[in-house]
Amino acid sequence: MRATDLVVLGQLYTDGAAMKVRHHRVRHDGFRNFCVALGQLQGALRDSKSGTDPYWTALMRSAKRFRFDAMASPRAFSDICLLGSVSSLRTQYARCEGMYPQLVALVRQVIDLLEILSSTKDSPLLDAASAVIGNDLSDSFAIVLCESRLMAALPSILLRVPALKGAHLVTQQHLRHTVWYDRLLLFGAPSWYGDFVFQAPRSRQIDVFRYAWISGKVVAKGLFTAPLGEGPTLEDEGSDEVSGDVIDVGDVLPAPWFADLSFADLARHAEGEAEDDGSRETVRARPFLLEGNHVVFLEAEDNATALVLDLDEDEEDRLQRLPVDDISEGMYVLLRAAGGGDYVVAVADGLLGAIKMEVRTMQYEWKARLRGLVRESTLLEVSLRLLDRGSQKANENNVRHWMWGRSIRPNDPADFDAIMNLVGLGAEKDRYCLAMKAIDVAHLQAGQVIRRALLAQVRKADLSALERDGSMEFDLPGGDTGRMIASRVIQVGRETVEISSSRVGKPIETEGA
Amino acid sequence: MLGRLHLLLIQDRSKWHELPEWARFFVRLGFEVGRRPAQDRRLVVAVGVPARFLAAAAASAGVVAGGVSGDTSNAHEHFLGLCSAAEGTPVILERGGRQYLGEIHGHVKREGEVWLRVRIQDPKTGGETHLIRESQSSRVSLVNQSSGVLPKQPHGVAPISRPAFIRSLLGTEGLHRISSATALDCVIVGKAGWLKSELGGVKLGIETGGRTVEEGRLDDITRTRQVIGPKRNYRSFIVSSTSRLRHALSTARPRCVVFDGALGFLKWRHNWRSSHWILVLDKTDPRCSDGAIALNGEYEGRSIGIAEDLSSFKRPPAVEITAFYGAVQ
Repeated sequence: MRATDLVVLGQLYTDGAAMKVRHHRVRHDGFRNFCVALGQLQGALRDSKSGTDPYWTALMRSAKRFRFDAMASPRAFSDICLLGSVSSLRTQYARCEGMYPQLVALVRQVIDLLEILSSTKDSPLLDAASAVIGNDLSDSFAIVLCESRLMAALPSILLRVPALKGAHLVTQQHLRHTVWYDRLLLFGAPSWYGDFVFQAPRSRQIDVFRYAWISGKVVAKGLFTAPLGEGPTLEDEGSDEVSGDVIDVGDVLPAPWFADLSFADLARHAEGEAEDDGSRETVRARPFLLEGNHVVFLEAEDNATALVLDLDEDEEDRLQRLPVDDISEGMYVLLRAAGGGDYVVAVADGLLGAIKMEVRTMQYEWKARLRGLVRESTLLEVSLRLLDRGSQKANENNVRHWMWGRSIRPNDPADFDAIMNLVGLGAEKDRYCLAMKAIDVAHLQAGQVIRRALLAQVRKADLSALERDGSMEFDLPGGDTGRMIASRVIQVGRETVEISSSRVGKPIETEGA
Repeated sequence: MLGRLHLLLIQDRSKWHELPEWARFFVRLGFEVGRRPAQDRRLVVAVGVPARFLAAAAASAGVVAGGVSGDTSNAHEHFLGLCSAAEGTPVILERGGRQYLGEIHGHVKREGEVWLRVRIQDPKTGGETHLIRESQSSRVSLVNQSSGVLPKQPHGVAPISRPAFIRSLLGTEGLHRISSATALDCVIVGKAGWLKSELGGVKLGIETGGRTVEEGRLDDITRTRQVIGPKRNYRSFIVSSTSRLRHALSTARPRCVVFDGALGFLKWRHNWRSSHWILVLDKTDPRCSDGAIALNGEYEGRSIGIAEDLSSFKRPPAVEITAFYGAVQ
């Protein structure tokens, strides 16, 4: 244990309870005009129910992203990357008059203001933070950003500001660790930060820099219904008063993603229209929002697991195969960078060598026959026929799972025998059984190979970069097919959805802020 | 009641420091829970903390120490039982921090006091025999099976790697109680890697006079099966919050279950409903609020009410605490 740990822990347990929040309301007329215009456009689209028209996607994504980035990071407006150029937006919306004549004026205003702002070097949040810190001799302060994406280019920007060049630049995730600073500087609405930032503070003072027209009072939240003694307190020196043209923070950042999105729709949209009959390979999957506005569906059937990196664990225990239902925010899921699916299959194929083609063909063959029978009747009908042939565990769910290409064979030999007999392969069931056993063994060995290779990569990786950026690539044997990406879990979907097995493990890009 | 637990030291960069107040809080909390018999009223205590480090491990040590202190076995009855045992009854004699296999050889009366005779050496090679008075009888415990013959030379085994540390902390009787038999005082549910390193890695100490410090570990108190290894008497058992729960453990009735984090609580709280619970919720844990919601659900179904007697319990400023008597199943 390092000497600082005890000191820091003492501060967390004692000084953290006396934390104060100071609000610094920042003004900038040009940016306020832009926010007001964009808010009016959002309202008009909502009122006219036109917001879902894909026509608006490019403009709204660009403008909303610019607004959020300008509010949540201390940099000049001209240092904010636009999703698309202003000239392309002008071209794209030149015909707005014909389609949405009532919105033309607002659209032009938003684009005009976006163009003006994106070329101005004004940096109101940076200036405000510099002014506050400039008068203070604190030797340890940190700039805390709510999203890793916002870190880009900021270190070099801060180097040009004398008062801030000594700042530690961290994401809010960093504040889950045993760390302590004299002061924390946050940017934007407090609700963009996790509760832990304020309820388990890593400083005695948190300075929140936010534009005057967004709200943001911080309140103490107790954990328990019936606490013994006094509950937690938190001193927030600012009232929540804002100017009349306040912007609802919820409009600036999308509401919790799992409330907004239909995952089934998201998955269907990503894979195109899939046939919806019993023969389709579907699995129950849980959605995860990953760093960088991606959603991935991970199989959540019984016993389903996924590879995760848990940076909180000791070195040897960091790489774990966890039940999908145990994966939580802050962990890093490991996904194949290309091709999706599970890297285990690709490695196992290599281990199978010369017999790969033969055994994989056999695996495909009996599953195809079983799917064919389901297509001709129903899952229930096939389950009953399997039970008649001695199956122990046939039911609709299990038959669906057995049909799935990623599963190898039923665990119970009686179930496999029943399938072989039903699909007309009874005479060859021993040969098929041996082939599936070979695949099983290859998958087990593949899992060990991957684990060893990943552990070697993880040991030599700069994991602070992973924590800072929220994702990192690891190169494993196999060239591009062996590249894996560790991505931080931002949010875990509460409900599982039934999706095509081909979508499992493939990140889907979402619209973002 | 705490014995010398409040005098524990912690080593940091080769220097001894007083155990910080927040760490002592968890030891005291565990002790307070552990000393209460679970069959009377089942106590559920939850704490919200700013960092999880050492909290559950320290509470577990308190639970085991509390359990040992709350052992209400009657010394007089124990002594009478030993004296009335048949000649040759196998026993273990605790002596100088080592345990010796022996046999009872009746009792004698000298100057009005009854002394138990315990032989620990083969009579052919000397027949070393010890006389034990009633007040020292906790050093003798009955064992189920005899090894047959007594050894030619008595060679006791050290049941505990740092007996002087435990003796200084809990006294000779405490040392004997904690090491002489396996008893499941505490199940600790959490990340096994973290817990093992905190229980077995953090250096503690206790001053023994002359400014000498006896070094030890939290696990010298908790005697966790996964840290001390097999074939030794243990008092605690770690259940990994990310692994499957073995049936034998799920049906065990430990004195107390310490949940280190929300995940293990959410997964395994349907077990051990006759035991005390201590739940440590790290406020930076993404599952913290889920854990608190589940805990508040337990509060709704409580059997009696909040544990008023714990309301005066001094806590570090950044700790939230709740305590109530849970429904027993």
